[in-house]
Amino acid sequence: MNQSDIAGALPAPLGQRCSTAFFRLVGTPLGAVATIVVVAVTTLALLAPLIAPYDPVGISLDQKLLPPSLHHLMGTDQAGRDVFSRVLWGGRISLSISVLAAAIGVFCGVVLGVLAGFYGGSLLDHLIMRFMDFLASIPLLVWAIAMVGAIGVGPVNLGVVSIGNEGKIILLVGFLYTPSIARVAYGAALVEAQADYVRARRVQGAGSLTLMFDEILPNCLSPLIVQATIYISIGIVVEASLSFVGLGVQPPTASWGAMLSDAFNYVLSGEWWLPFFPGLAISISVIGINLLGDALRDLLDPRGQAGRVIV
Amino acid sequence: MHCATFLTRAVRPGASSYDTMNRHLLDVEQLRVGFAIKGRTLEIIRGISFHLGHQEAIGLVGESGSGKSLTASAIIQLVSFPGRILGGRIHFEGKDLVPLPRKEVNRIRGAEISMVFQDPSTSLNPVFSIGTQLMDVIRAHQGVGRDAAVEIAVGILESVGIAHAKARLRSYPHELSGGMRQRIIIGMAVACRPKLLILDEPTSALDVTVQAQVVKLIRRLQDEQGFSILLITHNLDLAADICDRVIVMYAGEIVEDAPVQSLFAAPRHPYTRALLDCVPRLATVARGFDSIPGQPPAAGARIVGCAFAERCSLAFERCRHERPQPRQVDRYHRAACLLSANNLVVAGDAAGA
Repeated sequence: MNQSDIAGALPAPLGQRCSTAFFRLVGTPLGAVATIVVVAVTTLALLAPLIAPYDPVGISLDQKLLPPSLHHLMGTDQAGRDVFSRVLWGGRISLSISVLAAAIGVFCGVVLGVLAGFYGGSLLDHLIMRFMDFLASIPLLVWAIAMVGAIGVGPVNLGVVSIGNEGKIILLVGFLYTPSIARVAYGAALVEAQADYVRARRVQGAGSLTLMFDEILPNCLSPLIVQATIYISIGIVVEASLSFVGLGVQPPTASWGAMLSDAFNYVLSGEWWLPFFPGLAISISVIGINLLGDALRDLLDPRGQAGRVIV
Repeated sequence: MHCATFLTRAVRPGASSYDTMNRHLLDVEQLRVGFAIKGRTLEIIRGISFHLGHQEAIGLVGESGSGKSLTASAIIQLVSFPGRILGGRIHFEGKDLVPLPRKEVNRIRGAEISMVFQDPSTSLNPVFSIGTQLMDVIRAHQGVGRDAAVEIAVGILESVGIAHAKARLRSYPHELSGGMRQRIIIGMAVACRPKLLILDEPTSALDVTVQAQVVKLIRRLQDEQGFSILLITHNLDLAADICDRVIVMYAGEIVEDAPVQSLFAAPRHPYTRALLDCVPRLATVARGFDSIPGQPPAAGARIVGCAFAERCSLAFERCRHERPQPRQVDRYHRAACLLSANNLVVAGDAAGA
């Protein structure tokens, strides 16, 4: 067997597998649309300082409530700030908060859920899952108000680290996502832990950590990916409601959620552009992220791949 | 008493008992396994002793619930909560596996003791390719690089008769047939040249023609590699096909332990005899299937006397209060029946069937 034969037989190395996965992703219509939308939204948000025509917090009262025009593509708000610039800058805040919060929630939820599911029925399982029930039993806004009451608005200094408003909201939302992600991971892991392939790997000498995170977790990914993308979407809206009780982004900083709640007063008086553009930004991002989640789920599950069956 | 019989069975003229301990690959002594449920301990395996020589193949045969699979789990240290090894020793190459730390157990598993499960459709992880899974095992135990591992993996697939082995490494389990999967699983199990291969009903989930292929494969691999086999099955014919010796279990005890020939020709325990009578033969199928009347005792039930007495057509008064100890009926044949002590052969028409 020569070297190239060997290379052809290898399950491709991880880097290579990811790049082929990327091409397979953009190769499907759904995946292509989703990727384009997500990449576009992310790029616009990242490039906000370069492409935003105005200062997002620059007040000019003589320009207030102007409808969309060539000078102000999306009009101006009640303080004369350019809505287009605020949408671009607000995307940075909204997207980073929702993605990071979902990431924290998924990480903690997966670790706890898989652990509890793997040791299903044991004391550890009960401790973890009852704690999750406890967290989930108190509504988000109650947690938020309690947190504001306990530590106040504004940055918190923990020695060397200072956690700003955005940091607090990310931690709180991530923390509150944990129970529901854990529950999804738990349900899947509980089933998978009993599977023969887990026993088979165990008798091949694999340790418990390997079994949990290398064998069981990949089989639980489908529902988790869907759940994670839904939570990214929800995060954008949650951030808005938390801003309202004083935990989120404080005015004049722009975020999509905050812009939307400000625009609430102008829906009936005819300034449609105030709620429309941030709302559109939220809708496009949410749809893009959800589609991407669906496409990823289909892609990562080898059982769903048509045309690869070997007779 | 029991232990003493075991030693008599093992000792050959001129061999000291110390040598005996080392000669067998696996020595199970007075193994007891149970489940702790609601503060009570149900003893499922009730003190069994047997041994397995190098390159020997033995079959562990019995009804569902007789404890044969649990015995295998105990050997590979897979008894998990609420199950527990209550007592006894499992010597593998002279080393007791029971008190061994987890790390050491993980090293032995896969490398020195391997196991194949019943259902090939669930024994492979569905989200990884065959190659990934094979190479995980190879690299975990042999410490070779990627390229070397690929060559070994291709060699393994070829040795178990998988065509286009290289291309198959990229296949996922659901893309293969049940027979192919089971052959790959067996290949994976012997990948690291284990000394003991435990087969738990390896052919039950396969259709008959594929069963024959798998049996042939197991025998060929054993000839090539010289591992020992512990086969768990309820199928006496399968045991006769693969094994040199058969151990019959009933209600967590060993009732008979004999070379295949002698077991089939002259069973010494009424239960073995009844089992052999239940194997359907073309000649007898017309009059329907035989079965053993009654039920085995419930798991963990307190058993006084012989566990089989309730269902045994030859049972007499002593059977109900005296627990029969395993006795040598000849040099290689052991049975736990009061009748065997009196050298009453319970063989009948099963002989030569």
